[in-house]
Amino acid sequence: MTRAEYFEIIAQSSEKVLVPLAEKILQISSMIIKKKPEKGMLMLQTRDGAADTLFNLGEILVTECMVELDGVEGYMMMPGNVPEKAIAGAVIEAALAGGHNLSEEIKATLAQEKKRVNKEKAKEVFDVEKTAVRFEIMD
Amino acid sequence: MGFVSVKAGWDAVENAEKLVEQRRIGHDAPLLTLPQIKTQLRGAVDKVMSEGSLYDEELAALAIKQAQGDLIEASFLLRAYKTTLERKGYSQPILGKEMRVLRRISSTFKDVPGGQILGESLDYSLRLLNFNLMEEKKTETEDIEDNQEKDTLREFSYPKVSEILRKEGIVVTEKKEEFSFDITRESIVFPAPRSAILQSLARGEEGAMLCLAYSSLRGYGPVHPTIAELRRGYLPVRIKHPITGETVKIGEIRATECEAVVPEYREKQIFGLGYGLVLGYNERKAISMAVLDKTLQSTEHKSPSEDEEFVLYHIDGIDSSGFVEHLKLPHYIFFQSDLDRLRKIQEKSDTYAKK
Repeated sequence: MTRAEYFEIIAQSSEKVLVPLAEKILQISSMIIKKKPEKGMLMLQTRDGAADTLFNLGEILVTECMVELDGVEGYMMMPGNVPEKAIAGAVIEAALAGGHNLSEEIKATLAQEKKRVNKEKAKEVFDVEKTAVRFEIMD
Repeated sequence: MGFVSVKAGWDAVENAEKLVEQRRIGHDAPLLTLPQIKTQLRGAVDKVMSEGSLYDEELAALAIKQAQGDLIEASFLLRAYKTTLERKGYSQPILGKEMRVLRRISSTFKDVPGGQILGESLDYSLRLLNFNLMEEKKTETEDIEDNQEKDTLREFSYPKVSEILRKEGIVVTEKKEEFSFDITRESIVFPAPRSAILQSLARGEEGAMLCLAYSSLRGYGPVHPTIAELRRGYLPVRIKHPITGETVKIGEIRATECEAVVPEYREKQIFGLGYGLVLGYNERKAISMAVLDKTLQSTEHKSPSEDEEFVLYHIDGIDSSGFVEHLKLPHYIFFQSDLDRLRKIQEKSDTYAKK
């Protein structure tokens, strides 16, 4: 899996999973906070379906954070005001980028999280599929 | 008469504020929690996020609680809060065709590729007051028949109906505008670029937009469209990773998108397209936006809904409520001036009458 794919899984993982995992990493690694977790806004740019015009839909509240773990930089941006989750995410991102000793455990945990999230999404899709319309032609 | 500065009423103002708070919590009913608002007043949360122009369910719920259900006030609170936040940057352009669709209907063809998915909807049900909710107890909701393995995620995206029509050569391809105007950074100058129009509509007040769109449908405007596609679901939010430069996904937003077709003549008879996209689930607003996008493309300017300045200056709920409600503030000097003028005119009228 690529760094970008891991980023996506980290960003959608639960805080209850990310924070203990980051704490475990920090027990054997040193961290410098390069950008402390701070909330702010991200402008959502979109393209319209009529003319492909680029326009600003509105903003989303995000928390952004950057760390350096054993000399390797890690970054995270997540929706919402989630400072602890964001710093944990940045630590994990850096750990994976730097090939940390706990990489295998991190990957296994993230694989579980991906499975959990996909299960929730699949349930939503499954419920929706049941509302597909089957037209009957009337005589 | 000159202006006179006065200072008074601080106690009255403080006590008035306390009274509002007393009325909010001074009763025996359980106090509202943010999870209750987020999960059970979803329409209100989505309206406030869209009109406050800030996607965050937690803050929208807080604003609704603080505003005691006054949704324009709640949207104002969100907009005001935004001024305290730094803008971290811009997302990569979001495309409606990437939506993880949870509802999708078309009024143009019954057999649209991918089919019609009703999702959660009461559009085709009898809507009457449900008195059972007055004494409701929490029970397990009835699960839709479930005997499938749900661990694997199937992609749930659909081709856009407008793209299918465009390939058939029956929908116009508009000129692309790469420049993205930002109405939160610059004042609109008319005629406004399309990006400014769409941004204004996206954060407009649902009721005002509904009124103007309805006026067009009723004949006070040129547009009465057919909905090519109305869809809602999750759109991916992506950014450029500042370290790797790669595009990464940070999460998803819920959104509603509407594309509406209108017959028109441009060298040949063809369908024009109106576009609506709003934060959260709000089909009424997305449809109204698509109608107004199309009325504003008109060159006739015969009705209010075709007038850019009229539409864009009057659909913002925060602007309009602020201006209307400022009438409650003291206007003593101005009124005194009106009164003086009125008396003088009356005196002159009396004098002429006597002559």
